[in-house]
Amino acid sequence: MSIALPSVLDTATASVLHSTFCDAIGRDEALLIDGSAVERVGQACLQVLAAATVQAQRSGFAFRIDEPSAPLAEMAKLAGLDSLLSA
Amino acid sequence: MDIAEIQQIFFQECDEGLAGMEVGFAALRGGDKDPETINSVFRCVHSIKGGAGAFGHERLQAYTHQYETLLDLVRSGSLDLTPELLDLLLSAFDLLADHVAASRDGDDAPNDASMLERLTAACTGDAPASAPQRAAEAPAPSAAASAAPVVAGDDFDDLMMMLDDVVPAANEAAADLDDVADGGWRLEYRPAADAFDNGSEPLLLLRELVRLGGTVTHCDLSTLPALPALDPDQAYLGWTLMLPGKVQEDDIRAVFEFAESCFTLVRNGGPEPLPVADMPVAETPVAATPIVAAPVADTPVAEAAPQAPAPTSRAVQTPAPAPVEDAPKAASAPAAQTIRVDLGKLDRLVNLVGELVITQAMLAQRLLEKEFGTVAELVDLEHLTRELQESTMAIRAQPMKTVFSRVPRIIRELEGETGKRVRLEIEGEMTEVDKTVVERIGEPLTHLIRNAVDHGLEMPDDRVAAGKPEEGVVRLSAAHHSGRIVITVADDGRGIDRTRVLARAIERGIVHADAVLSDEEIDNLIFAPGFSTAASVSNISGRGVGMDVVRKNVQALGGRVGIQSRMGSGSSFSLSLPLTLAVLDGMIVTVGEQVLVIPLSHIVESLRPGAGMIKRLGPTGSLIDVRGTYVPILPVANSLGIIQHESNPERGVLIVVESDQGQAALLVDSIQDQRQVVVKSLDANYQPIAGVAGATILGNGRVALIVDVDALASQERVAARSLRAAAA
Repeated sequence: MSIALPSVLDTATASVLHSTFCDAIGRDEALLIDGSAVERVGQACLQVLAAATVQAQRSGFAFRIDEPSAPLAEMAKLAGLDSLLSA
Repeated sequence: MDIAEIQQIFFQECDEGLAGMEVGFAALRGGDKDPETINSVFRCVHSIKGGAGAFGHERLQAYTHQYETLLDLVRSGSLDLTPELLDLLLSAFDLLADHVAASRDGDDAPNDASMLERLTAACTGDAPASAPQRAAEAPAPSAAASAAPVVAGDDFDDLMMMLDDVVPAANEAAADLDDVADGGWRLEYRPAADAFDNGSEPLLLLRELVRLGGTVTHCDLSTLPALPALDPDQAYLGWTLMLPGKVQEDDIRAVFEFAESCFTLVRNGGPEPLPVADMPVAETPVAATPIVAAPVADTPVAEAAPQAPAPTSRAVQTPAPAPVEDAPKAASAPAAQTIRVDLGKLDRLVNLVGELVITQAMLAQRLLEKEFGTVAELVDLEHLTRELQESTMAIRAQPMKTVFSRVPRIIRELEGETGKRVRLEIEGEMTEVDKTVVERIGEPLTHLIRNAVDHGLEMPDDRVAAGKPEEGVVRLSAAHHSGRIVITVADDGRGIDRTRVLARAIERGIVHADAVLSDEEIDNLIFAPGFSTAASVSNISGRGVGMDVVRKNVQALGGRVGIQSRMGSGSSFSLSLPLTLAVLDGMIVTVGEQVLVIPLSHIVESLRPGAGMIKRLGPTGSLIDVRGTYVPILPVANSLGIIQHESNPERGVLIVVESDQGQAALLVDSIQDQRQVVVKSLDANYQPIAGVAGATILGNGRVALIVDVDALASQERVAARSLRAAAA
């Protein structure tokens, strides 16, 4: 399954992103995340991404963020979560 | 603490920030080239912007955003700080103060359209090509962002705009890792669970720390729940950062101005940091995942640093906001530890200490009556009580800086309005005085400053013609002197034209045409109600209601105003004020069976009249001849309704006092003592009484009323004037 991240991943978006990942992970299939359109990202969404990564690993299926945009990569690095992008 | 209280703190810190900016601008005006000066001004604006966003003051936020953009160009060296640009920044600063005041008071925001245009023009017109591009890119929220709170959109723009700065800063920081390991800072930052409220974004603080040279060495996911249990509105992440030792502790703490309880700062080589308050215990297995184990690249010191031994230096958990301006800047110096205390609590403490002083005095008197007055412990108790009282009063003391910091703006406005050029010199701004005095001295001081520029200083051409520099000088100083604070406003202008003042006073009927007055008396005429020498009423001064109000306000604070003036050389107004209003020096007198306190600040002299000094006029009126001047006698007993008193001035004591209405001689039966008394408000404890300013409790437990000299004199004014006229 593939999910395209929206351009704005701010606090207001976090609950939508959370629901999206909960639904997707419930299907127990590999997830390919397209992060190329992300222009802004804050902590609320980064931690949803982190929790989703962990959940996928524990469930034993692949979870990968493809083509992270520069802003996403920079913010993940700033927050010390750049391993998210290489998971 | 609710949001209103936090917002109140924000506005207090705005005031401190504005005061800091004023100092910075004063230094820049004086030719200061230190880059840290403009940096500090930038940081003040940045903090105000951050708080404005957090509390939804959109206009203030938008204004500070543009102001900050220009300041950023200056501090980065993209724009030269020319005198013209400095003038613009100063004008923008004045408007910023208005914006803050409007936000605080819930008023409409000031019209800033023109200033915003000027700020934008300064960014784009004079800046190098790259600078305006950055500024132009800043606003332009996407559709999604426009639905989000303003703060989020704006700060995200800001964030993205500054990302370029972050990465190089992080690289530089990595080069400083040796410094970090030895004497650097270790910082644990864990945003509170509700950190996203009000649109706040913890990553912005992280960014600021990285810009200071910090390196994120660890992201703590130990409290991050499994995905289904995660509440997207709660913050779960925490970080460990290392910062070089050269970074000032104040700068680090400034990042957390509005998130004070969410970080722990410790100097490397010191003890382990204390645990962050309320940090949930890590229980989830998430900590074992690769994400947690992955530190930010290139940070080998990260693991070593926390293990560094040597429990010699301090660990400080949660910062105290530090408004103390003169705290040493060096990182090795002790931090200025301050806390904010609710004023009500402080006043209660002051009140209780006052009660203690009274009780101690009563105890001493009781023991004295039983011939135990010389017991050593009693003496010790008295010393301790006095010391406690002084220490308590000192808590309420504030530096005059809070008042003086407003003066540069007043001067700038006056320069614009009058066309005069003024150099302001300030001395003794750290002189401390009671908070109430600080709060109430602003208005009289403002008028004196306006008076000095409007009436005192000459126009530039006139100054040059008089052989003076084109630029006039207004000197503002504060100093402790004999247990009082003396505030002086001096100018090097034309001085008081006494001939003109006397002529105007005669014209206004304030003095008789044939009155013979000393220079000092003529100078004091400018404090007479309705006096004005301004040929036309200006909007600066000259309404003729200012100087008498100055004296009245100063006297209400238990102070006096003195004037020194020399024609052609300038004038100097000195305000002598008590350090506190909670106690006052008083003369204890008796009238009939009552004991009264007359404030020493009003007393000129006391005397027992000799034969022939009293002139009786009319059925009840009388005057005393004090070295050739007739002073009306006010029988205090009559004014306060006290019976069985001494009504013959020759058998009583006359206390000559200075009042609003001029001098008067209060007739009392006898003088008992002179001492400091604790002032109790009659308004708060009973009800206001005309002629009585308050009360105190004496050592014997009796209540003594404190005489309101001005009110008593005012009651007798009409009669006194007619008597004086008749005697003359």
